[in-house]
Amino acid sequence: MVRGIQNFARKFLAYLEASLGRHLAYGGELAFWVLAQSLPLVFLALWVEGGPRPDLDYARYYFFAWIAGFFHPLWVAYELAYEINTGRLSPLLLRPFSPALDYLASQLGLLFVSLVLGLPVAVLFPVLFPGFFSGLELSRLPGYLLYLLLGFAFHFALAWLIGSLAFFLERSTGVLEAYYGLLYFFGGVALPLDVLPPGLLRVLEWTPLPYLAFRPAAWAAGWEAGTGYGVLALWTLWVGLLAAFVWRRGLVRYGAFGA
Amino acid sequence: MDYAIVAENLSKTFWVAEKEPGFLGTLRHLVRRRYRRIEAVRGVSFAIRPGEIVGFLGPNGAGKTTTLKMLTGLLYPTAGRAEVLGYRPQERRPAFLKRITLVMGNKAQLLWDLPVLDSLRIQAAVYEIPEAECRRRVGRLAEMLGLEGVLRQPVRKLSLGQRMKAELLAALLHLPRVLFLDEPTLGLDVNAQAAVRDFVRAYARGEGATVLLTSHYMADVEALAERVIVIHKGRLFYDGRLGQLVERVAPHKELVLELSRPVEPGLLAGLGEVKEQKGLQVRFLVPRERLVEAVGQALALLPVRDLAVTEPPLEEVFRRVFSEEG
Repeated sequence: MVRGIQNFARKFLAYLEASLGRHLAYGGELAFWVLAQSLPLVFLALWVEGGPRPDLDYARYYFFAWIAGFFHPLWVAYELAYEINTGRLSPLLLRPFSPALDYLASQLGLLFVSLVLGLPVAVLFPVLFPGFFSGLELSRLPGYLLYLLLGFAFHFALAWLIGSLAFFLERSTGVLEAYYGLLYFFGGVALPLDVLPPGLLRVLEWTPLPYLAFRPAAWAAGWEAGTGYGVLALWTLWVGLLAAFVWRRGLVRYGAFGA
Repeated sequence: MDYAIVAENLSKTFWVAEKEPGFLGTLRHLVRRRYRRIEAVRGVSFAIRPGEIVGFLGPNGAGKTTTLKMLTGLLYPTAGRAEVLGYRPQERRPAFLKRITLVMGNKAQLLWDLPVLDSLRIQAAVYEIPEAECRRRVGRLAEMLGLEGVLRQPVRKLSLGQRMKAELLAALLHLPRVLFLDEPTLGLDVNAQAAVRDFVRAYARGEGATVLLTSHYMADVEALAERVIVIHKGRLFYDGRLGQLVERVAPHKELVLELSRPVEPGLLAGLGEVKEQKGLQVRFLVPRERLVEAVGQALALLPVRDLAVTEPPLEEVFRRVFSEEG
């Protein structure tokens, strides 16, 4: 048992180390990716100009929403679909280690590098908004981190599901474009969801969307927004099971095209 | 275990979407897709004993790579049975995957942006090779492949030959019992091809490994395999010794004459089919039963400076056989 855990840890760390090396090899390009992740900061500028709350509220909200954005490994869907379509998945399938864990390690490496590269942007917040830290409650940090963890798990499972659909569809990732739109507007990336009509918000609360940016950011910023870990955990479980099912069925259909 | 590899009526069928060219074709494809059934492998059966090195031959599209993919568990057979070292490959059990390897000459598994050693570290972790043992194996295999100086370079900075050797090193680090090699010398120059061949032979002998090898370079097959399996259009065409195959499918021998002066073309035509004439050197294909007579005729009628009788190159044999088969 202990030996099994040690072996697993060694494999995972080796992948993680390689992932870090790979991502750092292209640090410059990653910096642009980090900038591309900074859309919430644009919305921050808009809300600071005309929102009903104090500027600091928005600054804190969009800061935490921006951090949450790094925990959305949706890119896995594009990579997995590409590897399935081109047959590049084959070498991973020949290893006695799940390709999902390889991808997971790769995304964790990317997450680490992104957070480091995002530091200069993060430092700007307390500079531009004096008193940024003074109203924050440390006791809310564990809840925020739990949201980030669940958000990461949910999006990894969703990305794996969409990527695995490439076994059956020629372009499975098309659905992601629509999903990004939903995430921006109903997830809390573009706007805090408390400005939406209460009826719409009640419907959204049954979906995973508000728990991916709005609830975590609002919670960490000290707003009254409630929690919803259970809903997100259930969605993660359901999507994860579906992804595992599609993956297993897909392997039977795998054509190893071109590889 | 009697056999390391068993294929029994192995078949694989693909459905491939077809689209007419142009905008109308695109519209039609959108509304109503047409699929074509492709029987890539049709009921192929063979068995390979542990330690054998077998050449797996056939023209492009014959079904070689598809068969290898079924034997390694990448593809599920549509029908039939595959068994490797007692395992069903498509179950992809870790114990099975730890005992085999597949090297594809046209596909890389090394991490492109990182030094070879980083990929080897991952291989060592994945295959649970202790670090000291890994260092020992890397040292030994790198020496055999002449790769000692390049393991710290990023893979993208290596030459094609070095990259292929590094791929082999990574693929064999876990000392697999069964090697599936799909065009391992593709695109390599003659020296690199020879180095890869020598390495594969030495590894197979040293480890007692079973090798199933596809290659378009007949030199690979001639150098490594006594037995060949030939498939054509997804069906088994031949399974036996290489020499017997040549006798069976090539009823000719090659007669090469080195002349001391030019002669009338009519004199040459009587000896056999002239395949090539370069200056004073002439290559003929002569039916085996007429060989003695043709040699006698050549010595009597032509100013022969040197003479050699060889088997025709396998490429030529297969070209003839498969073009006759259509």
